[in-house]
Amino acid sequence: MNGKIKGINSNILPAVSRLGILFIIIIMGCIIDPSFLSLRNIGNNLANASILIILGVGETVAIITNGPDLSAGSIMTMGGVVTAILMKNYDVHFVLAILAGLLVGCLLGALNGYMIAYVKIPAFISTYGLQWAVFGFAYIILEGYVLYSFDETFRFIGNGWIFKYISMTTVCMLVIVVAGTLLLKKTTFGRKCYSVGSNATQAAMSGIDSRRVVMKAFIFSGFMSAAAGVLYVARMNSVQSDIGSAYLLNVLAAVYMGGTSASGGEGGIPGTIIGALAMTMVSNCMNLLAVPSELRDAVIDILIILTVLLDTIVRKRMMSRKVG
Amino acid sequence: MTKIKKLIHKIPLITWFIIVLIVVFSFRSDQYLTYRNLLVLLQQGSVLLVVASAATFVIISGGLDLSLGSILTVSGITSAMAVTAGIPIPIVFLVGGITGFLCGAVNGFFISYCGLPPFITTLGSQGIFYGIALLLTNNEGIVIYDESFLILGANIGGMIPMAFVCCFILYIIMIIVQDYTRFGRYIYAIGGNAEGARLSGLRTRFWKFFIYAFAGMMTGLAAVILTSRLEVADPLVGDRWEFEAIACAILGGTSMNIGKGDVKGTILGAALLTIIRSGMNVVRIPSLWQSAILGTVLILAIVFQVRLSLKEGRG
Repeated sequence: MNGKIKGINSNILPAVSRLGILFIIIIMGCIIDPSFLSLRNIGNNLANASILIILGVGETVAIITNGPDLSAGSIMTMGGVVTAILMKNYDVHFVLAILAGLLVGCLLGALNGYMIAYVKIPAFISTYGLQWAVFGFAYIILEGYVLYSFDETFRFIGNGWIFKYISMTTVCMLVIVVAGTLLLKKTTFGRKCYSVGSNATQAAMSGIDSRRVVMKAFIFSGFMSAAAGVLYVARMNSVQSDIGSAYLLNVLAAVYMGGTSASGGEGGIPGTIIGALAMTMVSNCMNLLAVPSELRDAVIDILIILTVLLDTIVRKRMMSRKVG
Repeated sequence: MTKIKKLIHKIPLITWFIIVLIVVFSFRSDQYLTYRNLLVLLQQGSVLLVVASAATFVIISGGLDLSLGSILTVSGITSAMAVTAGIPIPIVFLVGGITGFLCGAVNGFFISYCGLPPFITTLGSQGIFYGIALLLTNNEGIVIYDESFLILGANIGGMIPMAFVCCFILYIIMIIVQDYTRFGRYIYAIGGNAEGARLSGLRTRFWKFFIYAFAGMMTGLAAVILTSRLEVADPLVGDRWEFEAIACAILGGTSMNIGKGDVKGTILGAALLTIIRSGMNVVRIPSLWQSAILGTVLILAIVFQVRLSLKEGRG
């Protein structure tokens, strides 16, 4: 994986091409609106990106270990809905409500993990199917209503600003990013994730119980999705049963743009952060350009296909160079 | 005696589920086992049968198509536009089929010739096709007034639903394609061992591409029938169809890993899903709950089916 080609580390080329994409997006943003790089706009973009990055941390771990967690958006919704309804309708203290939301996320993640690791249903089918059920239950819990105006202290996690330009969401995001990076790079669990993702048979032969690793990875992903949901509720001060549906494509785009390989075993959280920033700026640009809402998904989808296509082509080139 | 036992063993487990459900529902409502209800079930299930069979082809070949629902939507809209323009029915079918074929070809091109993973490609193209659908319709459904076209959604002499007849013909065509053509054998070859098939001289790239295009075409043809039955082409009609189609295929015994499966089994999956859906109204589950319950039942059924086939594989 770290093979040297003509003195250049093979990981540098894709990373450079990705930073290039981010750079192009920033320049485009500046052309569209001169105030694109103002501190205010950057702060806003960072805060908006935070929820995406937190989702991305979980998604990255899931994709590295096994496959995509397509239920991320629905688990995010469920985490937010459970937290919100406990605070609003049952007067539960917000700390307990948050814990309950996160617990539900872990449970749903465990359900995914069970289906994928123990029943051996491919991740993209089981998680894709689970999301309909979860969205359905979120709808039942809210009975179709919108919940809004929550406790002030609770809202501070999502809505507060410190030092004028840094939002609390960004702080939460930074904590989670550091924790996630340490988990992936510095713990045995992280190394097991990479090893199971790149070659499950080899991992099994070296004594790793890949089923448990996959299980844990999806619980982690569920937890992160629920955390993103809680933050979303705190930030937006309202919740309805489809808040997560817009995030699924964005988070996949962010992770793939960040260089995490769709076939597993490669990638990391730093790349995902770049991808999430790029995706947030793309949304920002689309807002500035007033792109009609029905076309936004299509634009993001085209971006996903293009990034993965670019990735595949670069990889193929490098493989053929290695052979030659 | 042993012969009967063997015969009973040969009947897929899902058949017993279907029978049990029918018995339960007919006890709950004396309207259930009537001919009129059967007509409704046939009408509702027939389009699903075709889309699920298309999904089955893709899954047997080791792929996945999450864009079938959106292809259904886009083809429905183009065919509705054709009907509104006054084009005769056979050409409307051509329009729907070609739209579906082109959509499927886009998927097939990226998956087969560019080597992108199927789920990313089709998840991505899903959004793109929905975008096209919304652009074409300006976000509103196209209502169809042409009486001659609506015949497709009516009953022949009040006895047999036309939609079922058309869809069943498509289904038979797919069974023939699967069992008696080279293309059908290639699907299994690619699903079982793509590399081996390539080494033995099969143009796997082209055939893989063609599988997606074919699945798209069949979905496009089904879309014409759906549009006629609903009398409107809605830009969001295909929502969740792709998952239901995949679920039907898996419940019908198609496996995602080893190029194993059969379109003939898919009809059982489609029947089960249609019966569950109609049954939810019979046992008076409020509509608020139906989406969640259907999703849960499908997930449980898939888990059950996959566990069962794993056990069979070991035994």
